[in-house]
Amino acid sequence: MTLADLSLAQLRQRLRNRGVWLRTGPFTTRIQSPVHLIAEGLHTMYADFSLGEEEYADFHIRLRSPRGLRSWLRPQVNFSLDGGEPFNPLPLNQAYAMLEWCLNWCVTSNVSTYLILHAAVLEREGRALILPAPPGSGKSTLCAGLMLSGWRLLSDELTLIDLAKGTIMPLPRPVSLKNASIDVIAAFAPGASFTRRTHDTVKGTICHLRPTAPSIARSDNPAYPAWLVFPHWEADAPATLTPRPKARAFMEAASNAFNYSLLGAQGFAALADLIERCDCYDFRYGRLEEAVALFNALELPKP
Amino acid sequence: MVCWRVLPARDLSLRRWDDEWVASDAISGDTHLLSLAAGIIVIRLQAGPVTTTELTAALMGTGQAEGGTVQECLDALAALELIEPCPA
Repeated sequence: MTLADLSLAQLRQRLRNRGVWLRTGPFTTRIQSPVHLIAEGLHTMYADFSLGEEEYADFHIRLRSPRGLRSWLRPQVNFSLDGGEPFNPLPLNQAYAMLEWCLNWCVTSNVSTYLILHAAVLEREGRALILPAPPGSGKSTLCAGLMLSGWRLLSDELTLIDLAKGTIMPLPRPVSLKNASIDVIAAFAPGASFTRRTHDTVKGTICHLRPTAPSIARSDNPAYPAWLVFPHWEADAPATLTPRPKARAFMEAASNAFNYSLLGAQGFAALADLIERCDCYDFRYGRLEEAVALFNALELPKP
Repeated sequence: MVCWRVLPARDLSLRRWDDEWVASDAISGDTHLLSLAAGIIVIRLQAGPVTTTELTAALMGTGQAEGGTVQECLDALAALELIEPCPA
């Protein structure tokens, strides 16, 4: 059963009561929320996702408005995981964005079975392109452009590296876009499906882009790491790949990992093996079309 | 005669690519980018204490012992608290 099997009204009812058990990659999250924006966002973004059995969930989360006078004057939304409330409430109009941020947080704060990089990751011909980068580097714009050009999305934010096999486990979820990149992607792919825009968040104006159907359909299929590319957007810069020495690529990737130090020798071995398998580059670009064409023409690394 | 060893409270893993090494200490969680010469020194010291003279000889064979390279590497590794002088 997928989420699209529920009407918006049915989804709202379920979210208000027992919740939905949403499967994203290797994780199942039980989501409960009476907030309409949550139902609307899930219905738009997760229509093709499977619903899990109502028995087990890795994370049990709720998003609801705090009670009291404030809820009338300035409506807010609060997130809870397993009954705890780790964050301050946000304005109610940011409810869906909060859901997405908190789904990321659930993984980065609770999962130690994978080495987790803050990186977008996509796949072509079974080989993964990993794009680690800090906010503002053009990572998500590039990720969205590649996904809408036929690459399979494994994740926009979290690269899960299997500690034993070295493969990349998919965790496809909506791509987070902000500010100018929203219009860039809307122009790049006029048929793409977005959430409504949320203004005045800590990241500016944001919205989410629905993952492509093949990305979701193959969300159980891991990919082999092939390219580790550090993107950097720069106005009017020609698309240029520059090889990065592997030891330096390692250091940069480690600085973008959530749990590298926590995993100790296991994390070192997993990241070092990933570097062995990948061609490593710095990438500068100014125009998305040019960037996508360059990656589409990229040759697979030699074994 | 000065002898060097890896700090007892270190659990180092190293990987080399081209002319650079990455060294990770599982105890502290720190990871360091090392030159070729520094990495060779750490590898030698992981087998047990070695004198500066022996290290210089070992690096001569790799072409990495020019000028003050060995002493500079030892000082840098000591500053990172990866190695320390010890009795011969």
